[in-house]
Amino acid sequence: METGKNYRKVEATGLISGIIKGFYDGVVQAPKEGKKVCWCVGAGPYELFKAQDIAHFQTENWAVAITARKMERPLVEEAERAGYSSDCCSYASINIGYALLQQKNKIPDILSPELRVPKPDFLFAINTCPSMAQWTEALREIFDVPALIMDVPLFYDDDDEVQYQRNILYAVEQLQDAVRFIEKITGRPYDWARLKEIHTYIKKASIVRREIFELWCHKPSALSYWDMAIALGAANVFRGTPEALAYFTAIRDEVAERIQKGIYSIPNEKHRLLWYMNHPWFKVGHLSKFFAAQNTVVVGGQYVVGPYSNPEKIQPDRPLWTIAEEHPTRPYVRTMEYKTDKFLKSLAQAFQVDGIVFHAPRTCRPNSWDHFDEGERIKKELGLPYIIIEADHSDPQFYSEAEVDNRLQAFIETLPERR
Amino acid sequence: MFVAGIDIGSLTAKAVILDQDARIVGQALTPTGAFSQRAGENAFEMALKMAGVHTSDIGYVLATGYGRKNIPFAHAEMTEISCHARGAHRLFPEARTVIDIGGQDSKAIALNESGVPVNFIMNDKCAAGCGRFLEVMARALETEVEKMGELSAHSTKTIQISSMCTVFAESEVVSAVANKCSRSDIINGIHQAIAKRVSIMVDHVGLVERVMMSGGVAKNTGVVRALESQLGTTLLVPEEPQLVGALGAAVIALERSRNMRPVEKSILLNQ
Repeated sequence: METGKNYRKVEATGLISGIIKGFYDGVVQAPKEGKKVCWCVGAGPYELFKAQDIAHFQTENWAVAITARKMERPLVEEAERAGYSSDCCSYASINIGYALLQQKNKIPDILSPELRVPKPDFLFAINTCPSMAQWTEALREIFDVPALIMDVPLFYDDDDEVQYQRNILYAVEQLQDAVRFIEKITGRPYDWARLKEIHTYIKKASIVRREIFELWCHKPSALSYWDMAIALGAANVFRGTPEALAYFTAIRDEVAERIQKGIYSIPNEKHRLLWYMNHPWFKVGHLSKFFAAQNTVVVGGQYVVGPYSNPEKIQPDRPLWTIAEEHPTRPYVRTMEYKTDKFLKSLAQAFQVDGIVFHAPRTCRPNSWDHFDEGERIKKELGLPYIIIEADHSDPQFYSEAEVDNRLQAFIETLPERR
Repeated sequence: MFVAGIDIGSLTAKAVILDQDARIVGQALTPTGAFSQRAGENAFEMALKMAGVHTSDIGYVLATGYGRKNIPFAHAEMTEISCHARGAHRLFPEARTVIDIGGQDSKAIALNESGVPVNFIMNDKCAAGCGRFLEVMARALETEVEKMGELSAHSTKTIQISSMCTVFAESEVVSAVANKCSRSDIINGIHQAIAKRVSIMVDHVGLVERVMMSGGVAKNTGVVRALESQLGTTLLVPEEPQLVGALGAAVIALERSRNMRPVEKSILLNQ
């Protein structure tokens, strides 16, 4: 029987482990080096802190590292003991549980040393996801440190030019406040030259990432969603460095070579599926092999494309404007119509998929509230079948492998008859 | 050469053996227990004995059900969605919608004229309304699952069982008994609750006549009547509703064996 051994991972993606280790080692060592530490909640402008040499990490990315190593249980339980519902964002449960245990000096032995991040000197959040503000308030209560919470308008609309400009200015003003705060807490003027350098690296990497995206559209695929998931951190919190640029360059070169040589992710690719929104981080390995066993490649997927995917909008000479145009415009603050058009319809067509898998995480309703309507609309307009899988992005207690595998396999078995 | 379909469910393991003319020559049903591989082997051996053939006569084995990946002697596996659809088509070529309620799964499948599924929906996260649910209810009412159909036929009053959770529904039943509600009325209420949940699933895939029911719960005439009433149709119910999945697996096994090249058949027969 088929076992999924025919899945061909893009080898260059594995280099992320060195980047992750280097990054978190820097965070853990920060207090000894006299650096300030910032916990960033949400997909925010980490480069603001990187430029001023403030140690920082994204709490979600850190939670992903925890759950991928199967260390999340005691942290989630601590959060639940403190009264947080198991329905709370599981990234938040993992992080808040850690914070509570850290304050009691009871960090579980199971936690890797490189992930034992130090307490924050301050917090930063961007509320593109509505949970971010409450999560940050919880951390503020636990640590009693200042919290900068950047507000973004709900349902961003690019078409109304006046409103769009107003929204950008609203974000820029808050970023200016953040810069003033950073100068105060670090006791020195802001390093704008360094920020420009970081944005320059982000722009170069963004150009390479766009090339990767174009290569990704090739049918058959030489790159899968699971490869891109592994690489996402380098577009997210690890971005803006020569290492991240080199990382994406290596991926691009390997994918280009694979296409040239006819080496594809799934040797006998029969089906192509678009994966929509986030995924169970603790099952990336299993799902990559599972789909391969069904001769199915998973492609597209806005979630793993990551931030700063449009190099033209990155202007290193206008850093706050660049940040303001990027960060408040993430998928969660888009209307259902926008998401269906840009993240589903165009991607489904670009990648020539046979169907769509919607991942509905139990602890992330902002992610899945509109899945059914989006699916029905795509079914009507493109004739594409879809399935909604209920699982979770980082809490395995809401993942039933037998159920998920069974439904996905049944969906794939029906694909030839549905189009 | 013969072929076999094995269906390992949560409660029972089933096997069906077909000859080259697609006739059923052997079938078996046995409890799954804690060891699904052994249950699969037992069901297979029982079906072989009934057919009067040996393992070496079986050219292709297809496994289905939750335990399908645990059958080392199977050549391939497919989900029960595909197998139930094919099994339904084999028994009733006019079937276009299949309702399957097993031990812990309920599903509605839309199939085309060739018996291939084109859409489906399954219960998620909760098995209330399936075979295990009925076992718990039967125990709470001090009766047997097999008698529930007959008992519900004597119901004169509708009782609402509203709990989604099997355990909480049992509490509701216990309190209905304490309130002197008749067992027939309570059981009918349970059947109506199951039918309600399942009819919503059927609406989701779209009811197209004729509608067939499979799975162990199809032996419960009370659930069948409740479904017919809620769906406004007459259900096709096979004599052996629990064997539909294994039958469908055997039908697919037969097709695959016919499409194999002679050298592949020879390799399989000589394994």
